[in-house]
Amino acid sequence: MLRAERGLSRQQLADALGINYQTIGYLERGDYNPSLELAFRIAEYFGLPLEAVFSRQPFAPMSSQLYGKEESA
Amino acid sequence: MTAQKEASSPLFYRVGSRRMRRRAVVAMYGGWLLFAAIVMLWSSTSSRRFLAMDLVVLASLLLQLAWFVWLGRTYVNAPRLADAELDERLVQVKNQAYRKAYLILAPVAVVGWLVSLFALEWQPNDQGKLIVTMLVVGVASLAGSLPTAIVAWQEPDPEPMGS
Repeated sequence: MLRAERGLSRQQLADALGINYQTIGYLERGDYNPSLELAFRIAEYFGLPLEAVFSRQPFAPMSSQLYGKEESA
Repeated sequence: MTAQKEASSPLFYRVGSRRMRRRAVVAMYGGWLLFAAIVMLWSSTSSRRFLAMDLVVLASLLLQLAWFVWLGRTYVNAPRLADAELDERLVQVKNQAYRKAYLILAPVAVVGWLVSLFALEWQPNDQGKLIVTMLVVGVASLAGSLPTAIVAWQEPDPEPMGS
């Protein structure tokens, strides 16, 4: 959860992106697919590439990403 | 937005819950139907039918005003706001609400129009005019309030802003 990592509330992120705070919840739950324009704005805000923020497949848990790679290496 | 300012109050989460909004929608339309039924019964036994018509129009306006004020203070009433005031998700919510409202309203308006014609044919007197007035005011009220009611009915409970 990028927002939680950065210590941002829904309202703070919503204000920064110029959207309603409820929309943040919809995005986080995957209940709403943003437009390309909003997706880019979110990615730019976090300073990450688009594919690091959005994916068509659910992201794997961070623990499995970190420890799974270490075990196989 | 006004609703965002209101959200800082704990009361927002109580009165803005979907359950409360649904109750408000049922109360609004149920109240109107009940009032219309009472006026119809009263007018059939009273000679003051034009007063009854005025009462129907006045009650409908007052009910809608109170309803809109209450709902406008408890959630983002997307159908009543300009697109520029909404984000892209809320614009979608607004457009979907208007589309659903049209699908509901179109057959209701056609049936109301047909019933009005028959009412004037069967009762070409003040009672018939009262029925037509009730139908016109009812359909007009529905047209004005349905998109808001649809959003109020469907939108989930608000999430805490600070989390």
